[in-house]
Amino acid sequence: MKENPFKGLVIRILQTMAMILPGGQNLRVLLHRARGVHIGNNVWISYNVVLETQSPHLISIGDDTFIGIGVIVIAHFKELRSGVRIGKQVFIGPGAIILPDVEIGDGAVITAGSVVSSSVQAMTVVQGNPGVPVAICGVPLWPATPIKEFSRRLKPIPKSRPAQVK
Amino acid sequence: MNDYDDRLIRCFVSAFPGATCDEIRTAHFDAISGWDSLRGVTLLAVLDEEFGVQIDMSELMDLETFDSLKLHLMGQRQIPESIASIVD
Repeated sequence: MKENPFKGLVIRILQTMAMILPGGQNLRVLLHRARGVHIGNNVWISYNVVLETQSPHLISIGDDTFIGIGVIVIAHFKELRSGVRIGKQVFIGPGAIILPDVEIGDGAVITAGSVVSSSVQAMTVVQGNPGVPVAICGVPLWPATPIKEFSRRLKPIPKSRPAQVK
Repeated sequence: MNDYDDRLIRCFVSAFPGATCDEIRTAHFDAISGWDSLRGVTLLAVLDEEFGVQIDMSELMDLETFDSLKLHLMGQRQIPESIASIVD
């Protein structure tokens, strides 16, 4: 799909600015919205986050979500353009990579460095490469739950639950 | 060390492969090599599979040591230790 060169340049300049400028809950969010990313309220975007270089409009991020330092979200690959949908109160740990055609349910936690190649059910902790569910959250980690309370309320994955959404 | 202890230690080893037997038996949980909350949840799943007992993460964190956990499990199953190895 041929990209408009001027639009492409603006999108990439705004991406670079969003990677290095301060303002995790204001300026960086504004810059990504200006690129076309759909972002809800009270979202935190850390430094060095890459949100889909070419087609940022393919990404949506729900309210109260945290995106950690160095996270990469890729919303398209060649002709696959189904995008990435990130729900509310999601916590995406530093260095995680989210691949195309992924939906991350509300309250999910993606641990640092994980590579998410398939959709994640709500209130599920995913870890590893490829990311696999490892626990159920009793309460969303972000924005306001203390780590100790979050840890105490983790539960094992029920045996009857499918391991992956798809 | 009886069979019950062996089974419980095997559960710990499967969740914490780097931990030694001594460490498992004597340390507080959060001092065991590789302890974190996600591995703690893995331990809960393994305990459920091995002993048929469901424990909350908050209960596990309150128990803190191998011996406390063992007593808790035996209390849940209502089988005295002296009989546990015969029944199993």
